[in-house]
Amino acid sequence: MNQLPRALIGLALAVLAALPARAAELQYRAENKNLEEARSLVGKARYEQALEELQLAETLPGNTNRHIADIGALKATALLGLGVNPERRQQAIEALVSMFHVDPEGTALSNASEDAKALAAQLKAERALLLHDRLVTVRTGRPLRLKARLVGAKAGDVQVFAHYLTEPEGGAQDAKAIAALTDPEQFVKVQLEASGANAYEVYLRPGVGGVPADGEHVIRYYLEAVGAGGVVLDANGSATQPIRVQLSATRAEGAGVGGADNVVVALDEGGHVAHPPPPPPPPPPWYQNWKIVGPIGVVVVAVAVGTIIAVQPKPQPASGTLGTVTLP
Amino acid sequence: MKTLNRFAALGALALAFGLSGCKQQDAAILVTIQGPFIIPTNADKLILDCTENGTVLLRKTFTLTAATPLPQTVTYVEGPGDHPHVKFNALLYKTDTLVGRGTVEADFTAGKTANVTVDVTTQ
Repeated sequence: MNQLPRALIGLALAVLAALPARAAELQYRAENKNLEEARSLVGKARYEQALEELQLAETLPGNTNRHIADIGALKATALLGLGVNPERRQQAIEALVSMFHVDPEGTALSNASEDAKALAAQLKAERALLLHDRLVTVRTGRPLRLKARLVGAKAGDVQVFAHYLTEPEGGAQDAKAIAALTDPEQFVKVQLEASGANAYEVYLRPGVGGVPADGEHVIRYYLEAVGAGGVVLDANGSATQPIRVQLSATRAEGAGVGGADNVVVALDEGGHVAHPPPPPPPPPPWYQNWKIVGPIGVVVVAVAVGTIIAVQPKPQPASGTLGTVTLP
Repeated sequence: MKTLNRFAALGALALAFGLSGCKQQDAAILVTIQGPFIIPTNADKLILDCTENGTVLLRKTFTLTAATPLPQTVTYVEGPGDHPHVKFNALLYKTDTLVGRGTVEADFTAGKTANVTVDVTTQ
């Protein structure tokens, strides 16, 4: 009989041992060590070394929009920090334009030097910049809204076009298909409508113009601002370096620098997700779910303790005696 | 040889004489009275009847005090009469109010002490 409570206690302990340790929170964070090193070097005014690190940082696959923006701001800072000459100034301008293309608000400038900030402000005032919150992920089956605004140029006869191309499902399988991904002739061209002062937008609707209506797909696109006479004033992305947006039925939507960072989708040169966010952890099996195992464990322990108490021999009071009587 | 036979005969006589002086144990019944009563809070008097064929052979009344909590035992010796089968009725009182009752039947067996228990239950 005493074996039963022991067995129950053993079972209870086994059940309690199976309770899941609190799982560490999985947090995906794309890292670019060269960028961080460059940031440190810029802080120490070691601009030449910083530029070397930034060059490496640029080439690393998996850069997010935030990374690209930071690289542009730091590059401009480092170039201008070395002393201004026409060549460095032009390179700084290119870096800042790249930054603005992925970071329209110029948030990456918060860590830039005053010279870089001044040049950025000058650029925004004088140069035509087609600013656009780059889409990273959108939900399949919903209209895909492309918004852009043009700064630094007279609105006038400016037209803004979106060029997009839907990748074949499952990706391009042969050389011809791969080549088509960067062939400007393969891109569908739509014009963005004016939606305000220097603002433009267009909706790419599911099932229309080759836009997928469901499933997981990739759309490549770029925007162009074309002025009078067909002159391209600015382009955000290009046929050879298009913006890649993932149409997903499951991923969170995101766009721009912050949005892109939030959804953490970074692409390598092949257009694949370089640092895919970790899949959500599978639900723990029932025997590791404390919501199930906890109450069961408590019940088992309670039963075990109750059984132990119940089977304990009760102290019997000693019998007294009232004497002996003899029957007649 | 004759002397040896004489001693043997004397020994046998002595043994027979000795054995005739040993009395066999009287038949007895050890009756234990038990029940969920706090003495003397819930009960203070026990009446124990020993009956045979519906006739009370012996009634004994015991006053219960804190010094005599349940269970208590009473040993019944068969005595001179022949009472092969008896019944014990236990009545528990609290200030003359019947609060518990129990009964048990038992047999007297020659040379042995039987053990029986009367479970007194509340009324």
